[in-house]
Amino acid sequence: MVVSVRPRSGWESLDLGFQMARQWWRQMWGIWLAIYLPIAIVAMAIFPNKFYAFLLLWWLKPLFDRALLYALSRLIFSEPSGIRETLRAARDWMRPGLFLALTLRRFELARSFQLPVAALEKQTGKPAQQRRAVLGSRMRGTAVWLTVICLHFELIAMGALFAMGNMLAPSGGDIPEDGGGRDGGFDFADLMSWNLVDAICYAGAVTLIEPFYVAAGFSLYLNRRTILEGWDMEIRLRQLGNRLRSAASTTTVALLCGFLLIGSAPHTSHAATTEIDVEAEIERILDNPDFDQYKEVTRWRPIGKKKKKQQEEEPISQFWRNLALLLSDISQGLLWVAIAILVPVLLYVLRNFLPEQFARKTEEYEPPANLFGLNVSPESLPADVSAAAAQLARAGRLREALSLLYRGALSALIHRHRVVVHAGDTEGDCAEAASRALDKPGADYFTGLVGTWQQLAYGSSSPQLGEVDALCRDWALHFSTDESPAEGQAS
Amino acid sequence: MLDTARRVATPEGIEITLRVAGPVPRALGYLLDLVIRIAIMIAIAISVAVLGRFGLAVFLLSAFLLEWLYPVIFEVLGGGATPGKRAIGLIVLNDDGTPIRWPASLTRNLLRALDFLPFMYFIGYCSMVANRDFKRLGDLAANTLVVYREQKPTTARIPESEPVAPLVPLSLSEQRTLLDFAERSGRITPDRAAELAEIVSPLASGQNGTTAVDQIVGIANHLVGRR
Repeated sequence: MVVSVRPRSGWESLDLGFQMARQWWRQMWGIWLAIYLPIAIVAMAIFPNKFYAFLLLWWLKPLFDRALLYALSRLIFSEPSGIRETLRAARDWMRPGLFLALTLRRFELARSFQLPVAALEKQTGKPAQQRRAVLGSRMRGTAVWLTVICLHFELIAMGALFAMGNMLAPSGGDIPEDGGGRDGGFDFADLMSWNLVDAICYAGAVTLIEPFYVAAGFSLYLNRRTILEGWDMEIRLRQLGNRLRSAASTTTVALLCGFLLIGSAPHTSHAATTEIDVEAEIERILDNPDFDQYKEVTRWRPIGKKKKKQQEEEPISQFWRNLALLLSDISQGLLWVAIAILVPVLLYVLRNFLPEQFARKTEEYEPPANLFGLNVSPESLPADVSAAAAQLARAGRLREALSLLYRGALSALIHRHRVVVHAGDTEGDCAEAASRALDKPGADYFTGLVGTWQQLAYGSSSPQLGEVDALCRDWALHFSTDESPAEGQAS
Repeated sequence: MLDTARRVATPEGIEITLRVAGPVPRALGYLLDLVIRIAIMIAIAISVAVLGRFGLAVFLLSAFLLEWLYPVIFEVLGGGATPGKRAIGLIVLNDDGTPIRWPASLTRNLLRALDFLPFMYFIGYCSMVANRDFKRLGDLAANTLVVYREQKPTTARIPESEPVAPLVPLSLSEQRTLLDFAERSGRITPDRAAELAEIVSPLASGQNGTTAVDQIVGIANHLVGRR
């Protein structure tokens, strides 16, 4: 490790971070510009109101920060990490947690301090939350101050770049206008409509500050881990251990094994996972004089109500109006996005709830000619199915008789009752479909017919002749093509 | 080794370590001083308001003096720190670690006018982050450093246990390491402490786990003279 680690105060570790960014300025700003510059140019080209370009660039900061952090985490171990290496490892540093970082955690105040948990330790979900809590139990305040101060540094840098432009402009105070721009100087009321110069000043300011911010947060994180895990002691103890081992002439195999084990261990285990009595342990630690601190705080508190502020001045109200306009713009955009996402989702979900005939009517339905290996086209059937079947049954060919009845019934269902039956459906599916298309006795008859057919076809148990005869008689009642089923029954 | 500590040797041959302070704590210190100055100016403005034009003259004069001499007077007479710096724990010293005097303090504070340009110390900030000692232009001209005030040395709290004599002679820095470990072993997790103690297992006569930690703490007890 080329950075000196020792337990430092919070401020001191921030300073070390600033030194880190200064030391490796080539890599830091190289990587930053390689990623930030193209996106900034595109953003500025897209949006006519450059305020949106600013918003986009601001919003994407965690993405850029990750690249810097990746490079830093390698540089402190003097591993090569130039622009090329970092860009090539983009898949590595973008995951995990980038989505959360850009949405829910975008407003995290200790952002650069907590970034390594997801970006370097690759932790997500509950473990990451616990890790952040442990790291942030001390020095979170310093990290928040870092963010606040760096935000102000950014504002100052932006103002300074702007002022510098003003000073150097030959016209003596005014920046030449570009299109719908305004004359030089910050105009509070116009805060929501930026011109190109504003956006460039912003991007320049962020470029100046952000690498320091990331490095300082990382340094604070390193310091926190140094305190929690004794990294500095590990390095020094290792030196001592090596000396002792090389000094000892009788280095036993056991010791060597131990050394090798230790050599591979430190990256894996530091969490406290002991099974001691937690309550007693907490008691014991809290008994330590370190925790024995009491502070008496006296504060003034207002008793009466505050007076109402005077009416707001003109530019302020203009500022609010602009802000409202901006917010309405953004929410409108978000609404369109939401609609674009919701409508397809809704359609997809509703598709499953539509009634079956509805949903499938759109497809051209063609009744199948074959079902379960049976030919069910009307042409293949005799004109009077029930009579033909009865004849077959009387001749003792029960199987053929039943098969004929079944085919006739299916054919009638498909072609006359327009029941939708697919080639892949089972007998049970057909019975169910039939029960919807036919009246109650018809459905009962069909179910019975199917049952008998199944018994015969799959169960190889022949039904009684009378049973088949009854089925033949009743077939005409329910499925006869004639207008008068009674006649069919008589024949 | 990248570090923020600077080693300075005094004429007596004593080496002291100065920990230079960076832009973030210094900005906070400046902010506090600014608030204090503004409060004082408001107080003056209120108290001289009844004096009319003479009051205005008094106010302008005191504002001028306050702006330019406030840091100088505190740095020279107030132990090297303005109230804001004191609150953050900073102190201004010469490069060689000696207390700052009038010429240096005047130089570094009058040059604030340059550091302030073009807007709120932007040049000062750029100079600070480009310099390995975090010097703004005023510090460069006056050869001064802003460092962290040394904390009162806290007495080492080494947990008491049966002292154990080390099996091999240890150098000063190695003794220091073991004392450090004994002191901090209570603040890191037991597993991690055992892991660290096992690194120097020859000292712990090849033992593992918490017994190794106890062994090292025993050696530390021996080193601090509890025999």
